[in-house]
Formats: sequence, C-alpha cells, structure tokens
Amino acid sequence: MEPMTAPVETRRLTKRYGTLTAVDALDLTVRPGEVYGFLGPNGAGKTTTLRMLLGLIRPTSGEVRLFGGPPGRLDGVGALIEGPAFYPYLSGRDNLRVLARHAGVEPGRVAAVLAQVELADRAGDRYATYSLGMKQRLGVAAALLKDPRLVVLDEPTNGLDPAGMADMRKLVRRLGAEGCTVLLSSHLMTEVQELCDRVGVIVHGRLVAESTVAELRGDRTLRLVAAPLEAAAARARSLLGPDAVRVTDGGLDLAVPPERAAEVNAALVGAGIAVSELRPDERSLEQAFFDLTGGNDHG
Amino acid sequence: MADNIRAETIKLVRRPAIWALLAIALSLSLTFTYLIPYAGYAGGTGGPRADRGLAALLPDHLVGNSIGGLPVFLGSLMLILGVLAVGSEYAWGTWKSVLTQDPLRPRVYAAKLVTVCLAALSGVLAVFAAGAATSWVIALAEGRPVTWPGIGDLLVGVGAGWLIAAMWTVLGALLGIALRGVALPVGLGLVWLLAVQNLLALIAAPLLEWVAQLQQALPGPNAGALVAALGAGTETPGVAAVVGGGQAGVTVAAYLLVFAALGGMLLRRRDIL
Repeated sequence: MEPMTAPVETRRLTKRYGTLTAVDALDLTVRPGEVYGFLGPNGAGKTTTLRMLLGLIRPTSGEVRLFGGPPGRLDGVGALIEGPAFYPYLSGRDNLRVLARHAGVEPGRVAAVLAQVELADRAGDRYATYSLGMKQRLGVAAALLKDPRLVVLDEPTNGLDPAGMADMRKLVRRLGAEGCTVLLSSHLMTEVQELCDRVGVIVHGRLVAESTVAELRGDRTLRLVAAPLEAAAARARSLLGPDAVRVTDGGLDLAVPPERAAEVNAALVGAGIAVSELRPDERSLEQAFFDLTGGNDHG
Repeated sequence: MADNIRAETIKLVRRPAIWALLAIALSLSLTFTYLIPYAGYAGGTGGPRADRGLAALLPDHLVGNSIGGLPVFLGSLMLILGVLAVGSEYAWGTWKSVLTQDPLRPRVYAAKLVTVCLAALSGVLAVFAAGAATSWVIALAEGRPVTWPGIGDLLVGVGAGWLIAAMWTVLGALLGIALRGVALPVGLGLVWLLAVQNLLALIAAPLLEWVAQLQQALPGPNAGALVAALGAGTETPGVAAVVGGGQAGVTVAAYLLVFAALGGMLLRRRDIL
C-alpha cells in the first residue's frame, strides 16, 4: 500500500519582513487523521505560518505542500484564521451562501454546516448583530463548507464563553473522530492537552519541539514530602543517586518511575523519616511549554 | 468563475450602500440635466443652463444628456462603487474568508471586475431610462414632438457611457487594492476627479502648454471628449472636445485595461494580512 501523503508538510518554510524573520526554516508535518496542536507565545509566527499554508502569505523561501500537492489548491481544506471575517450587512446564511459559491460547493451545504455549529435558528439575522461567540461559530461553519479533509483553526476558542469553548472542543473531537485532520493553533494549554494527538511548539519563528503531548510533558516522576527534609534528601540520594533528587517547594522531586514508590517509602520509613506525601507527578504541558519557550518571556 | 460572479452579485445586490449610490446617481443626474434647466426655462429666470432652452431637454438629446455626467460627477459615484466592492474586502478582513474558499486570486478578481462592470452598465442604463422618462414627460408637457435617437446612436451612447463608467469603477477597484481599504481610496479618488481634474483643465492647461498636451492623455479629459463627441453639452463640467471621439474611446478603453491589469497584478503579488 502506498503511504498516505501528509495533509500538511513544510520544508524550511521561511518568511522575512525586512530584517525581521517571522518564520524561520520551519519543518512541519501533520499526519493524516491527527489533531495537531500548534503552540507558541504571541508573536511566535503561528498565524504567519498558517497563512502561508493557505496561500494568503507568500513565503520568502521554503516549500508548502498540502496533501502532497503544490500550493495554490485548497480543495478539501477549510480554515478559520485569526477570527471570523464576514460581510456585516448580510445574514449569517447569506454570508455562507456567498462563500459556498466562491468554494464551488453545493448550496445545500449551507444548511448542513449551520446545523453542525448550532446556528440555524439565528442564521437569518444580520451578521453585524451576532455576538462574538456566534461570529466564531459562523467562522467554523465557513471552514466546514467544503466538507474538508483538513481543517485549520487558528485560536478557535478566542472570545468564547466556557459553554462555547466546550462546544468547540466537542466539535474538534468529532472532526477528529470522523477522520478529518485538524491543525489547531492555540495558547490554551489545557485545550491542546485535551484535544491534540501531537504538538508543535514554535518560538521566535522556529519549531523547538514536535512530539506527542505525553512526550513533551516528559517522564512521570515521584513527588515526596517528608520530615526532616534534609535527612529524607540524603537517604533518597543514597538510594536513587544524587542526580535523581531535587529539593523544591518544601518537598523532593524524584526522577524515578512511580513504580518505585513502595521501595522509596520503605527505605525512608526504615531510616526513621516521617513520610507525609508520596505520589506520581507529571509535568503539565504548560510547564513543558514554559521550559521550552523560556518561562513567561513572550518576546 | 460563474459561481464567483454569483457570489459577487449577492454581495453587491444585497448591499444597501450600492442602492444608495444608484439613487444618488439618478437624482443628481435628473436634477442637473433636466429639472434645474427646465425650471429655469419654465420660470424664465435665465441662468447658465437656461439658454440651452427646451430643445436640449427633449428625447432626441437623450444620449448626450445621459452620458454628460460621466466624466466627473457620475464618474465619482462609479469610482466609489469600485472602491466599495474591492476595498471593503480589506476593511472587513474578508479577503482571507474568500481566498481560503477559492485561492485562485485571478479568478476571484476577474469575477469581481465582471460584476462591478455589470453594475456600472446597470447604472448607465438606469440613467438612460430615467432620462428617457423625464424627457418624454417634458415633451408631452410642452406639446413637443417625441423623437427618440436612432437605435444605433443609443447603442453607441450606452456603450461609450459604459466604457467610461467601467473605467472609473475599475480605477476605484485599483485604488482599493493599492491602498487596502475604503476611506483613503475614496478620498483620494474624489480629490482627483472633482478637484485636480478641474484645476488642471481650468487653471493649469490655459497657462502651460505641456499641461494642455498632458490633458489629451489623461482619463478624465478623454472621457469628456468621448461624451462631447456623442452630443453631451460642453457647458457640463469635464465635457470638452480636447481630442476626437475615436481617439478618446480608444484611450478610455486602454485606461480601463491598464487599471484592471495593475489591480490584478497587485492583488496577486501581495500578501493578504
């Protein structure tokens, strides 16, 4: 069987604005059927990259391939980039009719996508009267018009209330379950952690990591709180080796698999140390993200 | 392409501002071409246009009367039409919505131009129709015979009117693309059409020979010469036979093509931010 072509593939994709390099030799691969999270601080080059994928921005150098094809074709590709944009004097339905014509899809798709984003009852109202959440949903509806194989969503939960965010996640999960590839940019770690199979992290225009969420979070470790702490640290070091023990926040981080918890506990209790807490610990994606991007520095 | 034209048609036809432009075009056209001269004639008060007399308001002058406004004031409205159709896509950020549905920019742009040029034709036809009705009423009211221009003259008149209207509309589209918006292109376009053109024609050209020569190559004076050749009254602002009708027609058509090509080139090359 021939291997399936990647829905998204970029090779050394670069965009420069004068002396500023917004995207720097980016190699990105999104595999068929996965929900790919594109993470990065503000100004890291996420939206510029997505715009280049869609042909809205011309790369300075490098290559973009969608489903193996040369750029300039967006058959089966739907997108919502940097917030929804529609004609304010038209109704939601007429806006979709216009875009359906541009896309060359059946006008019947309009009712289907309106139902998909649960906007059918307000579809006759002028777009200008919509709330932010409704505008966002209409934007997603437009992205679904072509019944796409690849959906590119740039910060899709921006401006949504908690219920709207939950609906959006449900929709992304459903798209993923139906076999649609989703490329999702976000700065919400919980969202990405919850939704995405793989994650690419971009900082200053460069891809600094690309892996599964679990890999990015790293190995699970043990968290220990015991008294006296110094004695506990000394015993742990002699048991696990000096590099595996770190004293943080009034406790110990032990770089060993959680399966060794009983052994560690027995050793500490045997040394007369009172263990008050011992549990598996996991870096949050957020922590991993900050480690990769250099803390809260959003420059 | 046909689907894109349908999409553009929905955008134009459903937009209240476009109908406002048409209403303004018709009311200005009727007011200055027929109502004020007729009131001057009926009241016998004289004035700059009253001396045209009744004869100029009758149906046989329909062609000249209908296209006389296109070099300047109707042209301005056509320019606004072009800016609105294209510049608004920047102002509302809708280019990205359109171009992610159909990334083929030349096709989307061509559909837009076809649609605005058809809208310009509709505008010209509406001015002809309103002028025909008004001149017919005036002829009946004054007991004059109703003599219509020949069908050939009418077709040439509508064609020339459309050519000029399309040129200004496409210039509006070009300005919308070049300046990526609505306000500045409308402002600068109107300054050119309403102020600079008149200053060049009335002040600079009589003083400087090279400006007089330049006039023969500029779009506005050529539009004015084209309508003058087809019977528009030369007392109308912007109407003067600075060149022959044939040359003027070719020049206006050339400008139309150049404006369209420039706009297409800019849209194709530039990033949609």
